[in-house]
Amino acid sequence: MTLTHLIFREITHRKLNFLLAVMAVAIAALAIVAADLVVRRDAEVTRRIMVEKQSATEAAIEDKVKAVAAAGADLEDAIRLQMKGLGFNVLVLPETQDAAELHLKGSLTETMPESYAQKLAGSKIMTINHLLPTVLKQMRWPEQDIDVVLYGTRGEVPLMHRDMKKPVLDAVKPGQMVVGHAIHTKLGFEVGQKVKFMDREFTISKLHPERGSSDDVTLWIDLGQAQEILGLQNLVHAILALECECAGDRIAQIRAEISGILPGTQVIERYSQALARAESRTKAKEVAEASLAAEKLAGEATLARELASRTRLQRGHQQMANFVLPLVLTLAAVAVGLLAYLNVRYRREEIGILRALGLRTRQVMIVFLGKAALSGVIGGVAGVVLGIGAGAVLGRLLDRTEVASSVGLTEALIASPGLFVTLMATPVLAVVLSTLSSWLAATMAASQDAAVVLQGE
Amino acid sequence: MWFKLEQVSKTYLGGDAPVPALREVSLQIDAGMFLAIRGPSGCGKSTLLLTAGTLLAPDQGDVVLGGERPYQMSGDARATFRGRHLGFVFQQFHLVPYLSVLDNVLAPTLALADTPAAVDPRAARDRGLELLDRFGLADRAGHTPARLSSGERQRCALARALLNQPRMLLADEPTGNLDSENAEIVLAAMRDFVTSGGAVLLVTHDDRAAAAADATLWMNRGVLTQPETVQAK
Repeated sequence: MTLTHLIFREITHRKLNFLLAVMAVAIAALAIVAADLVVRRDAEVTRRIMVEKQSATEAAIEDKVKAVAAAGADLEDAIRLQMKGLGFNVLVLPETQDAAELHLKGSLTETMPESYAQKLAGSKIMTINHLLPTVLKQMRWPEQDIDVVLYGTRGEVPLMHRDMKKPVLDAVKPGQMVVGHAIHTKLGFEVGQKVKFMDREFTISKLHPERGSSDDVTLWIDLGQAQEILGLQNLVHAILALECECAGDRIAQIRAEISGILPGTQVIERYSQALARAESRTKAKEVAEASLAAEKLAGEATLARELASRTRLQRGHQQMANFVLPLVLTLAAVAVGLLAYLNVRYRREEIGILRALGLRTRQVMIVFLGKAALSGVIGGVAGVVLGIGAGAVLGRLLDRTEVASSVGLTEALIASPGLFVTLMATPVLAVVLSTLSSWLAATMAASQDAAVVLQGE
Repeated sequence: MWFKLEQVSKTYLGGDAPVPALREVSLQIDAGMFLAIRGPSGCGKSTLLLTAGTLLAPDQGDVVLGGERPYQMSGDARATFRGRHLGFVFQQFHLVPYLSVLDNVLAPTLALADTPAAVDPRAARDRGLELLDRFGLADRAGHTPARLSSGERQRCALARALLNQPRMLLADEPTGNLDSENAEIVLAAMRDFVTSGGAVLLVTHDDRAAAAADATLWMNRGVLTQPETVQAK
């Protein structure tokens, strides 16, 4: 005969009292686990949502960055092509050349050494590309009896410090001629046709399509032949160049750079309308970049709002747990204490006879506290199991987000150290709660006067 | 003398007026004595029994058992002393309802657990079964008290009282709820206990029970009216 045997026999005899005590403890344990699980679920769901949204935002911004970069590259290419299409738009002329002559007559009279082109190409100039030394003169084509603009060109002079670029204008080989649109349509020229110009025979190598500029009335021949025809050996009227797509006051930069390399020259910019268009495209790029920056800010603001919203939700649940948990624990403690007290009342006679038989105070305490501890163990373990389920269900009900309903969330949390500690500690807490709640009743039982009970008969 | 009450008085307080239950009672019982105390209801018989049984401390006087003064001991030491040396039999049996008959009989071993007088569980069980056999309850060992007759319950209570081989039995109306056959069995067992060297203090209204005693004292309003020293027949 042992106290343990006595405890177990009494439990099986008064099952309802024990079951009610176990239920009270289980509810307390359930509340602890469920509350902790809900709070931890909230934190985990928030973490997952933020990671998801962060990555979605980053992906969107990355896509935008790529789109802007691609648009920028397309734009640059488009401008480059446009500029190429327009032809050379920077002219380096002798300082003494009257620019009005070019605008009014489409020809030039002042010359400068052809070697200037090599000098420019050998410099580290950054603001222009595609150097093309040329002679240029409006003159009569006596054999055809029409006015033309003669361009003598030898092809582009490669810039020493740059990668080789595809030339805007291919060189015209000696003996060959490229003919502008108005001329070849008027005279009915064809490629390969031989024509006479200033008593020299040329083969037409190319017919230009309509450009709507002075190019339509221009003939292009080899620079050397043009210099001979015009009597300008080793001299050129102009060096044509293609302006870089530079930001800011381009022409001022070009002038500053070229005047440092070729003193005694002047620089004229043409086709400013097209450049304005290029500028507007550049502006559009800047707007796109600003929009990207704004999108980044908006993404960050969205993340901040989401985080604030989740934090509010978490705080709400935490406050609810802070209110409900102490209430449930108190009610459970009161219930366990009350059940223990009723148990003592029911067992008054039994306690009296056990005391008469010689049981000591400590032994009577053990009889009651042992039972309480057992209800704590069983209730605690049951509460943990039920609490996991309740926490998972409650978590879904309180948080309707897709992430909160994802499979495996609860399992992942159970494996996490924080909740694991709670799950392990809760049965211990349940035993402590049950034992402490029953302490007063056990003390009453232990201090019961056997004589009073036995006299009561 | 193994048992002595010396000028013991006990008064109950708390009612309209104090109720004196024992008035300077002196009594001595030696081993091998069977003493019956008779008297009208409320005369103080049960108070005398509980005081002798170390369950109710007197207001005045001294109680000596085997040379020890239990009321000068701590509560737990007195409980162990009681479990070791005294056995109780009550009119209402006071069996533990959820324990089997055998477990009820073995319950007094709990009092000696973790003490120098602790009983080996196997030996205690053998002795319990032996007592059940002696009182005709061998086939009832696994039953709960609810399934026993009154006579069987009192025999079970008697077996429980004898398990720890006490020096003295204290019996309060043990035959009050029994038929004559069972009353005879109980009284015969008490006589056997006395014969084997134990002492019995019996409080009763029952003439049959009193007749089984070596001597009978009368009590009226807390006062014993017969000689203080009782010798064995």
